[in-house]
Amino acid sequence: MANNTSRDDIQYEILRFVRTERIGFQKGLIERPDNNAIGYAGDIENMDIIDGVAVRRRGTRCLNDPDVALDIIAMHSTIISGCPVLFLITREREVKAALIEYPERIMTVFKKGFAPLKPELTGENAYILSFRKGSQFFFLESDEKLRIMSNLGETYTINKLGYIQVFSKVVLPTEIELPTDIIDARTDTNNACLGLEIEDTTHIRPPKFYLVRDKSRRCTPVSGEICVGIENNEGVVGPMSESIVVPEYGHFYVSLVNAKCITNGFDFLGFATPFDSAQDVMYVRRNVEFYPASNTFVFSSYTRQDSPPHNPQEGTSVFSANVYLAITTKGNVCFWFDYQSLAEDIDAPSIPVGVPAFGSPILFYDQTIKSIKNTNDISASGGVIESDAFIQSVISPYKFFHITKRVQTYVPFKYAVETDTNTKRIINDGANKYVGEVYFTDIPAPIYGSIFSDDENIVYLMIKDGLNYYPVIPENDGTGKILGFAKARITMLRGSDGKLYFMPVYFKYDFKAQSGYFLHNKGFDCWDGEFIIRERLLSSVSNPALQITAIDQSTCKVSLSPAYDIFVPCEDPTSNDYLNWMQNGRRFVVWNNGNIISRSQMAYMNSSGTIVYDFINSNNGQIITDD
Amino acid sequence: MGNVEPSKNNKMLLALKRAYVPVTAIEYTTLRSRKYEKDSTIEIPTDISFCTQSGNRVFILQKGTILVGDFNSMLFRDRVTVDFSVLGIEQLSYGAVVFGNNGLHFIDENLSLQRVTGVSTNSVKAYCSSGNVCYAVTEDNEVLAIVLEFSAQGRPYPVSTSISKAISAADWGDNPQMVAIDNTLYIARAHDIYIYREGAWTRYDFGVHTIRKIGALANRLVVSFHDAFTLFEVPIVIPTADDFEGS
Repeated sequence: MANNTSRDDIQYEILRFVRTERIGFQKGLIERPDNNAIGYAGDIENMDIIDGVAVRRRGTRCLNDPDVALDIIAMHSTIISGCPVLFLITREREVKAALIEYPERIMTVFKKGFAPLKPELTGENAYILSFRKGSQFFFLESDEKLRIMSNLGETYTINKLGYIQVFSKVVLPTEIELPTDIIDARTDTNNACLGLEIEDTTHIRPPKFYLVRDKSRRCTPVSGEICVGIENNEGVVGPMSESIVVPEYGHFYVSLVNAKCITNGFDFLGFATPFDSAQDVMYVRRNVEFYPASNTFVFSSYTRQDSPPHNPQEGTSVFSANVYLAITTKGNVCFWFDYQSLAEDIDAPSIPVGVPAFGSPILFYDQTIKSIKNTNDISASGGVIESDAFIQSVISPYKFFHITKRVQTYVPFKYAVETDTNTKRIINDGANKYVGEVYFTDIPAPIYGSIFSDDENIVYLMIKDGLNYYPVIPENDGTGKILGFAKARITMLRGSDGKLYFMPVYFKYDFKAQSGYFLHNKGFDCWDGEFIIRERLLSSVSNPALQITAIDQSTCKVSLSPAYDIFVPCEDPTSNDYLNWMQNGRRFVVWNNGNIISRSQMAYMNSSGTIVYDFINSNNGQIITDD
Repeated sequence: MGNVEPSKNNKMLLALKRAYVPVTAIEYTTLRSRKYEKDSTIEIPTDISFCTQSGNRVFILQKGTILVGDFNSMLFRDRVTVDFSVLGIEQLSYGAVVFGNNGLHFIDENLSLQRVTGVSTNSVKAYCSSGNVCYAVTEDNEVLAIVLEFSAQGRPYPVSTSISKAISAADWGDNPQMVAIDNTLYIARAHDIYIYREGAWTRYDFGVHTIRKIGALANRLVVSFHDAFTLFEVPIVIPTADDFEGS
């Protein structure tokens, strides 16, 4: 009996050997087009053991129940690289898939490849195929492509001759695919996924565009009709925008966001808010070098400051006249007078006569002054601080403006001086604020324009003492007293020699809404760009975002280093027009008189919105971590 | 499970995102410029009511206008003007059948509109196409087959005929579903499917299981069910139409 059983077993095994077809998996994973999926490693899951024989399953099969019933509203089948795939779209606009050789699982469809399908999302959600909106879905296909389109035009295109793979979960580009993932897909009930080559090929209408005049004139001059069109991710240019007709040749950048060309200097005033906002300001110190040989101070360089220096009282033998002047964006000249410091030195012999009364001071300007000498002592009876211009000039071109209007009684900062002209040590008492008087005057626009058109604009403050102004004419009786410059705050200190010295001048620039993206054209329309927040721009820390290399006093434009070409102002680094287009936009083309003359760049950016060309060197070799 | 730790480089790559710079410089135009004819008539799909494809041509109904575009570019340059309400569009051979409220029409390869001869209808419940035959279920529960025939001069013209005389009593309900696979037409109602093949009708009854959606997969019928109390929660694959015959 035992022998019969053994013989039956042998016969059974022989029979099984003969009947079993040879099944090999030598072809590995499916990674290329093929018209027959049989023979690949994934095929091992499609076997059933029937009468001891491994056969490929066929016939009607019932799929497993998913945890949540799928409300399928659209179906379409096609062949992806030789593998029949059934696409299902649920009521939630998610695209699912089933394979005829592997029907037990309804799979999530995800995009393979580096770039995410939905850049506004993070993690695996950015790679899963689903529609943002739409209630009807249409399938269009050719031999090479399958397009799934919603009734609102959102279109995704699947490469029918491309990658196809089954995994147990969404495989991000960071993860390595293993054959075991395919087996996992069968046992992992809810995470079966089908990886395909998918591209978002939705056509979008061009938004409003801006012609930004290139002040450096490096761009090719164009004229005539200019419009833009948006390319989809297949390189097809969609409908064109409305045109802008440029009557005369001009050099332009084309921008889809509001931008400003800063090639020839960053126009702070162009973005500035009124002067007395007293916040978000940048201070630039105009350094004055002292040349003992000639006993001359000369403006030499510019340095950005966190805040103006403070508290003259803490410096020994220092007197500060503390008259502050500044030009506002509206062409006004504003100055204030610090009583606090004045009270300390009220008896000092060098205090100009008439300052405490402050009845009707006037402004006095002279465009020819380039440097200032302190050759004469100033005494209580009135001294003279000479300048080259004063010596050489005559009174006739001078203009006077009465300062009468009091605009505020609060001095936002207390400005002081350096304690020593040679070491330039700055005393800073932090955020202390002092009470003072701020006076204000209007300069008529025509005069303003004539005054502040040249490089060096200096306005002198004259003090009225009774019926006299000091110093009206330096050459006359020597009673004039020069206290300050307009467009700047100027302070004076009394040195150990008892003389008054003009000290570095501090410019104040309002920086309201100055955060934004600074873009530099590296050449051939390749851009460097980063978001620079206001605080970093204003900061004078050891690693400032930008270095100020020069200041044009007449226009208040600041030259920056590194040089940038385009500034896109925006406050929120996480949500703004620039970042929105960077993430969700497309390449666009510029059309001019029958030709496409320019095509915008596709780049890669990190989580902070900075364009990255070399992802290792761009971060000092550190691993970039996503937020 | 099955996935290993990402490499440093891969993680760095993941931190980067594809971006599109919203600013471009007009420079090197001699090298970069190319001829491009601006076409102000181009439309892109934004509000589609119906859509069908015939070869490389795509027909959509958008805001009452039939737009004809190109599959490769998905830009719609041509229009077919109609003076009736369009109830649907379905592919037929190299053109498309337009189901209007005043009858059946056909858009030929020259994008001219011609009326379909034979049995007509002003209202359809469902329609589908197998390529060379377009099927429709009318409000009168009639099943129409629309094909292209050729005149003695070789000129094609669309003809509609009724194929439902053998099952004239069938009521298709409000929302029948149709799918044509090869030469077989499937019409699904709530619980059963009618199969039309080689001039004969058969019927397959799923009993208590309510059909949600039908489709095709590799020349096989796929059925999705509503019924939560059965195993048929998600699509099943039915081998061939032959399995239904005689049932």
